[in-house]
Amino acid sequence: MPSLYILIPVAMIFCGLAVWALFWALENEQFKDADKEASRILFDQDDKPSKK
Amino acid sequence: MTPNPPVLTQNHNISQSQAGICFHCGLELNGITDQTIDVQGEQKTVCCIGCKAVCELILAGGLEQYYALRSEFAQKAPIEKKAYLEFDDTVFQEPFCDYVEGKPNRRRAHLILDGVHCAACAWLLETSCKKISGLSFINVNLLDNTCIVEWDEDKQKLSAIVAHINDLGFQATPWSSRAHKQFQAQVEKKQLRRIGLAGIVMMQVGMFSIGLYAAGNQGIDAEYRSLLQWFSALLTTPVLLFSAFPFYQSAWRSLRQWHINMDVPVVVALTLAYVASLVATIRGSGDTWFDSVCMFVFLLSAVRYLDNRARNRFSAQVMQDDMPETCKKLRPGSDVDFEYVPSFSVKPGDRILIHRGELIPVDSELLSEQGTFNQASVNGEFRSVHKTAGETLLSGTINEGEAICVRVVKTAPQSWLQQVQRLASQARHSRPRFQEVSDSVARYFSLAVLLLSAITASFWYIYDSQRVIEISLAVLLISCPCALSIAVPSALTVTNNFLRSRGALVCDDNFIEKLSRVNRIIFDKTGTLTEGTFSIAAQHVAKGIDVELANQIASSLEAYSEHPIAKAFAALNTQPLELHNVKLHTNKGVSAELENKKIRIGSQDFCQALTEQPPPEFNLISELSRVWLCDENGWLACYELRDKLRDHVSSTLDQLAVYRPALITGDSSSGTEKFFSHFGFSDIKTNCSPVYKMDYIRQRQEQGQNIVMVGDGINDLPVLAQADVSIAMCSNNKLAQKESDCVLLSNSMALIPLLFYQAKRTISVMRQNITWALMYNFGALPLAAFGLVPPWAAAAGMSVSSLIVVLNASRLRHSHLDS
Repeated sequence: MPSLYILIPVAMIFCGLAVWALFWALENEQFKDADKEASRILFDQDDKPSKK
Repeated sequence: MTPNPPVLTQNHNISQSQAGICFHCGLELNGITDQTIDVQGEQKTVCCIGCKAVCELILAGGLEQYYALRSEFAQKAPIEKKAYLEFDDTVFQEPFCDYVEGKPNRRRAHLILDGVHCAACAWLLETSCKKISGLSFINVNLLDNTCIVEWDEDKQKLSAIVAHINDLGFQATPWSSRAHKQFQAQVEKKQLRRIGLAGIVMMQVGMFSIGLYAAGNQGIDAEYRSLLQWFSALLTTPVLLFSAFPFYQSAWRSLRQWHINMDVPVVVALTLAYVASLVATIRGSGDTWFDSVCMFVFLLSAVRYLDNRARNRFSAQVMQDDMPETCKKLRPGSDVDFEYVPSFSVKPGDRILIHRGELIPVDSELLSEQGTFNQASVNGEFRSVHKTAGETLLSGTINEGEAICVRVVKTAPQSWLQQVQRLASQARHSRPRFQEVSDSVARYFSLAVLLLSAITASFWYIYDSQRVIEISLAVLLISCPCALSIAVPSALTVTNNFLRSRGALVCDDNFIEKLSRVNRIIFDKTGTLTEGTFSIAAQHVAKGIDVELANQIASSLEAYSEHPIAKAFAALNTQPLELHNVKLHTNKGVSAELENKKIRIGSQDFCQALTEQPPPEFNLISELSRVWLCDENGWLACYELRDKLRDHVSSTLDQLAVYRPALITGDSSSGTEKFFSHFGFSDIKTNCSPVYKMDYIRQRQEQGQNIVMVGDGINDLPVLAQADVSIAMCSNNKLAQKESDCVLLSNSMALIPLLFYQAKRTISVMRQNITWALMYNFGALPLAAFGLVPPWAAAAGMSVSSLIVVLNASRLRHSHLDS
């Protein structure tokens, strides 16, 4: 049971991380356009210069 | 006119001299000011010369009632004075101002107001501004912090009006879709943050509380129990402070006005649960309910968020908000070379390039040969339409085909969608009777809940003092009348938005309720059953005359006339002949010379004056309007015209048979009655004056009939006003309708049965919602009072009951009549 003294603070950290991630996502309008982002991976455009 | 102060019963009076704060804005003075002002013989302290100036202005206008009635302090006034001269610039005015129809020099502006908090602010602003000379209308909308002002251009300047508004301590800025959108986006983000925090914390605290519940059965060291409780308290605190903030705000606002709204029991429950749990945690004994607090906050905010979203679903459709702010104006002489210009700056005559999928920003006519368009946001018609060169494209139409070129015919403020939007913003937001009832029930219920939980608490205190807090908490949570208070508005807004998407603009919130009680429908004819556009029904040619030639002469003559009837001849599609000496005779016809022969087209008498012989015996259909054609040798032909019926008249009337449709028209032509007798009218009256029409309706109202009048809303306004409910058809894309309760934006009559159907459905959904909410509240209350429901289940039960109401209302978004 003493492990709770470590586990609970760890859980709190993850909880805080989750809240931070949600706020960050809202602030960056990650939920604004779900359609575009979902299909963006399908496009081949690559900004990085190709190495070949 | 004597100003009527807004009704704020037994307002908590914040005008009483409170030491140490500014009389006007309520800011703390900290002893740094020596500005005082004489208010009805009393010396009041204000914080700065800005506030003093505003206060003096209010008092000078005899508006001191404001201070007695307001429920919130005013915004701190700016000290510097600005001239706001930019507001007089016509280019600056363009996006948010326009001319009021039918009144030259009357301008109208849409402004966003900052600092308007309560009904007293709105009253102050309206009454004070009405004293400005040259200002003819002002209406403040508290819901979205906007206001509409109308003023006479020659008598007053907008800058002076804006300066006056700002002098009162409010900030007026031009209405812009972008600012409005940003404002809404900010609000939504904040809501989501509150819900998200509550949700995540709810899960974590829930985890801890599972441990605590298990401990209740199996036993746990006091040390670990305390550990779990302390961490739960730590997590719950931000939920109460941040996520539940809107509940506290709303409860506080209503308490200040000596009202109890549904958020009061919510706030009492939350505070009670939190404080009791915290005390138990500190003392190290007793139960904690941190999990119930988090759950309640999360579920309740989520339900309210969903309710808002369901309501705004259709307003998210193409409305003025989504109109493109720039458009591609073609450079002169080029069909491809364009520049981006603001949509409001294009003038009639400019050419615009519209690519596939883009919106037509202003009313225009098609220059390209053809195109395919979707007009769903214009009139609710979802099928694509095909148009050819020269046809009108209303703003809001979407180009579904190839890129096209259009010529602008109207400026942005005069364009269709902008006018619809304006009409919608002027809708009368009166509270429907249903809502008034449910609101007052909810109000008394909130009070009853508080009393009942107090009684329950005292009973249990005697019977089993261990369970007092747990049970009174359950009572408070389970019986919050949230479901009841959203039962009506959610159904109503969903329906209004649904109807808007189908092409019917509801202008009065009472419309649905009134329509559901209607048992008689009365139609006007011209512009209502018919489109007000004529077409040739039959043509008769005298013996020995070539039909083609007669048509050719007739259409060449009518080409010179502006009369609506003349347009029908354009459909004959003939080669024009060369005419000389063309003369237009008002109300008679057209005369001219063709190959040195005199010809005439027009009424029988007008032609007979030339032929000097009676007309030949044609096999005439008696009921139609006639146009005669003759030359100096004799009669050539006779055309019979009919006004084009709207689409679906016959099927619509069949569907409305239970409402015994009647027709009253000012038309005097003998055949109208005969023509419409096949349509299943229960009564037809022709040759009616407006006074007779009103009498006709009044007589039937006295017999206990509830009447809906359908007219074109242009020349039958008093008749529409006499009826219990009025629907205006929109003819020839003219949107001059403000007085009726509902405006149909599409040309089709098929919407009318849908209106009736939807009204019935909406009313029944409202009934279901109210019944369910009452049943739930009265049913659940005893269970909680007898201690059969744990607080977390009470929180869930209340939220689920609200969710059911929201979901039930959202059923109204679809209709199986659609197909």
